[in-house]
Amino acid sequence: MAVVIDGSAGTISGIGTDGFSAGTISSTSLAANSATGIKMGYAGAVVQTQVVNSTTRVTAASSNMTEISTSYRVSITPLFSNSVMLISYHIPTGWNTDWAANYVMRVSAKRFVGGTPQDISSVGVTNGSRTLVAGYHQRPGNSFDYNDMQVWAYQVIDLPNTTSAIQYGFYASQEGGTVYYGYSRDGNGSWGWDSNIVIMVQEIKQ
Amino acid sequence: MPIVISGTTITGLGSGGLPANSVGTTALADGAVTRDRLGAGTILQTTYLNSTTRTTHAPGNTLSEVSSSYRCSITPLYANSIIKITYHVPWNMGGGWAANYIVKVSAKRWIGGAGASDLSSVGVSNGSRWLMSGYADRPHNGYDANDMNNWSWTTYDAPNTTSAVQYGFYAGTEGGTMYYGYSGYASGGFAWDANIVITCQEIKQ
Repeated sequence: MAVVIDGSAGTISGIGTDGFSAGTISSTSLAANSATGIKMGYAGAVVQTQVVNSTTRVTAASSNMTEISTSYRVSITPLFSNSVMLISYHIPTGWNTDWAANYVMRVSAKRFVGGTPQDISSVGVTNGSRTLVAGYHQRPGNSFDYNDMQVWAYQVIDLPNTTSAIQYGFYASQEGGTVYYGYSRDGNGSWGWDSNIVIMVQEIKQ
Repeated sequence: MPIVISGTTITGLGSGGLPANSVGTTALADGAVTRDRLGAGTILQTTYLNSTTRTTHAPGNTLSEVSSSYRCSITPLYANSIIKITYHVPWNMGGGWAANYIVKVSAKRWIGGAGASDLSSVGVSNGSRWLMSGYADRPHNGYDANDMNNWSWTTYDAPNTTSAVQYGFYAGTEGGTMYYGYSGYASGGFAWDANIVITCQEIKQ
């Protein structure tokens, strides 16, 4: 294709973008979807969002804080090491009737770096011998049974200080009995239920 | 600088000398997208509070601010923006409560030196009911001074200003003392400490 310079029309045609001098791009580079997270130039911008919408269903019966399932992790690789992460959890659980009415159940957000669990920045500060938590402690509600749903829904923040891949999940425990993650023990009654575990993380530029 | 055409390459031209719709790469450099380029529905800014302040509160059956340390600040870029506010407020009843006591919390806004005002998402006038943008809750089974109750909710506001705004909350109880960010008991396997987290996001309209 010939290169045509039309001085009257003020146009040049017949050359590709790469044929222009360095530092020049075409308007197609500003098309829809071209403003990716790395292009954001202001503090407070959401530069990326990641989510896990887990259909994994498991039971757990641990009285020590432990990870319930590695399927309950959302992965993100920060674009900037000084970014803030907003992490939102929605964890529906079913409790069995082998529980005492006053059993306590606990959950706390965790960051995984290279598979190693770490506390996030929203966890508490040293305060006597209290456990540091970025999440919930909860007991059953009145008249709970094996159709009841208890939801852990909350948002916390983290400053991971890295651009390496990280994951956000959670640890949980209960005083006794069995917890059903994402479903009720009863599969037949009109109050039985099934619901996904959803974890979302947003990277906020600083 | 001369204009040189060699094969299919032209050098020596500035952006202004190129055809219409051509721009320089600086227009799309990393970090080049500024807020004024964003359209309706986009997030213009995000601010947060990650408070390590620990305090008790015993207001009785009226709503009052627990601590001015529990406020998240944001200065809207546009007066017609919507603000999304997310709260994570862990607390303990500290003991000394009746099992049926009710506790209440409601989001509040502060602008400049003015007093607290309600958010746009507060309830509407409905008899003599409390107008709320938050929670009302009772203790759960077997509660004690180690238990955590947690107010985690998302609400919104249309503050109609470009002045600095703070978002916090009021709380009240039927009686007893509430511990914010920590349990009344300091020891034992179930005592806990946790930060109060509030985030604000401005959404362009």
